[in-house]
Amino acid sequence: MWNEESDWIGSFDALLARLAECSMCSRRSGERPGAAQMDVKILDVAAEGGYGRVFRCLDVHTGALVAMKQITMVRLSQGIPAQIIREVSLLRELHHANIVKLLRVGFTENRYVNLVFEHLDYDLHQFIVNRGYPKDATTVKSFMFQILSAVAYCHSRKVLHRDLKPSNVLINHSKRLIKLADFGLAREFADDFLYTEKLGTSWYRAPEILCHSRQYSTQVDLWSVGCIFAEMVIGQPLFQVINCRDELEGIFKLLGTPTEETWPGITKLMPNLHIYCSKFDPLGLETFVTDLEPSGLNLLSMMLCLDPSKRISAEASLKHAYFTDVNWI
Amino acid sequence: MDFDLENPLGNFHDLPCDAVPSLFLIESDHIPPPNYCQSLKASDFDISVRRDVVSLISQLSCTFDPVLPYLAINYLDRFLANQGILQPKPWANKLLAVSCFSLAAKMLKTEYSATDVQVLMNHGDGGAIFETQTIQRMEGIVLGALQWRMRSITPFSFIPFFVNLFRLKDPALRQVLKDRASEIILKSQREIKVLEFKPSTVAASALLYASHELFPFQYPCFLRAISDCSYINKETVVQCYNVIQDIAREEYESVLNINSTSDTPVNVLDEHFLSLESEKTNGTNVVVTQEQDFKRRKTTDYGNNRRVPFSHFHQC
Repeated sequence: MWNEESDWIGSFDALLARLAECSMCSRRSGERPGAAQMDVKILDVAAEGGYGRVFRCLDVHTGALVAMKQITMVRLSQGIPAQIIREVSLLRELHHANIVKLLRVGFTENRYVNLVFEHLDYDLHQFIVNRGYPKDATTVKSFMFQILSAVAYCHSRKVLHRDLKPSNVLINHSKRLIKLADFGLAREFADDFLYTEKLGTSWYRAPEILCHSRQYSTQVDLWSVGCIFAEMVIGQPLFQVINCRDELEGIFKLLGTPTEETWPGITKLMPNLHIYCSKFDPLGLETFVTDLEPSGLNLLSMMLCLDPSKRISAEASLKHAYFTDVNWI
Repeated sequence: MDFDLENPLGNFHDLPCDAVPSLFLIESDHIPPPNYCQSLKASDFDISVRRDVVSLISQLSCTFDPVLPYLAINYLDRFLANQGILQPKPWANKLLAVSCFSLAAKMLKTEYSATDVQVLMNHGDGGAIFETQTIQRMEGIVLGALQWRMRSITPFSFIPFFVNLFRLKDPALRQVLKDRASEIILKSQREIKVLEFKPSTVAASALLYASHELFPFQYPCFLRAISDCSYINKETVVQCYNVIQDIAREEYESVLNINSTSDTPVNVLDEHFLSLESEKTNGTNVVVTQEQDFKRRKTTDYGNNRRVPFSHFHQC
């Protein structure tokens, strides 16, 4: 019995060791799990969150700067968490110039999934806060076109981002190149359901999400892009400027409290709407978003539209008159 | 981030036009390479190993949506294409089957009982019980071999698109057609011959076969709709249709053979027909052959011709 079991385990491990040799999940026996198996040299910790950590690293083969995101696995009773498999699988399908590239995936047993991404200089949040918002209209337009190109690509593949905000928009400084990042990987993996319900303090969340609708779709990303658009123009979050109790009240103050006429289905979605807040007349986007050309303001108003079914799509946005000015291309 | 694996083209009318070609363009990324099919054919042993693992996956998945076993078997084929056939150890085949099933269930957000899986896998075998850690390690190996590209585009992904082309207005009829096509797709995946075709081709062929069975008078219109689709190669669909037809026919004949050994009495008309034939020849085999011929004629209305000749149909 002892010998039989020992032989079985030996052959099992030998089989696994042989099968383990592959480019995406390379792991050599005896080697310490971590950065080495990912062929990167850790420079420092760039960020920490509930999900794990992000390291700034050097790729040992190319010498290029890369970012390694180390995700702590939870709920191991079912093996590798489904959410991680789904997220990584999706990232592996997204190939676009304006989406951050996933270079390698590594799996450290019982502990981490390591994702190695290309590195970019900073994110749009840092750009706005530290360097002053992009004052020239050309940069705003270029950034918007790139963001919308990436979003249109994702939506054409039935992929929603759901968490678009300036800190998820990365920038390559020298090329003024935009890349979207963090397709959900920043979320707690412990319970996806809780995240879906959780009300974070985010100025980029669409009203239908804030109303707890479970039927949201691609339009939620266009609302977020609209908020980013406004922020690039005025230099701070749009709904931070509006004096309001919470984001939803801010939205209603800006655009007017919705009615069945302006947002069909709202009374079913928010039966207590009249209790929740007073009836606001719209202050109007032009009150806060000054210094934006008329066609830009028109596009913005189509993105920040209360009724999701009337909100402009990413693809249609790219064809809007705002982008037909040949000077900036 | 959210998406629907089963219907990436769900709500087809709402998708931007450029979504359709993107699916047709990327589907080849999610099937085993062409030489996989040839290498399987070259070895009877490899075919039998694949058949065993496919059978195990089918046992694990019999109560779930057909997309689940299809996805799991897709992972199996892509894994074998990458890693080669495993050594002939029953426990390794079981571990691989469980891992592919588990990964597919996770991609589809399908809950399953790990206890039920263990009971099923250990039935009739005194072998090892797979612990979570063991399955996890194997899952990691499969994920690596497939480069974590688990969102396979399957034939099921294309069914809504093609059904929309057919312009069937009755939702109940559309569902019947989809269900039969799904059944055909799942059965055909067991045969390595189908592995040579792209998912969209398999979907188109399965739908055509199902429509011929269920709606023979409308079949010519459906055929025209498929032929007019610019993303489809008609000649390849014809080849795939013939493969699927053979598979479906083999299924039918195997059922017939079972019936022929039962005590069910043949009706008077059939008995008369068979007795006439038996006067000309001797031997049980001939009688069975004649019975099969008779059944085949009733099924296809094209006599002994095993191929449905496309040119015979009038274009609508």
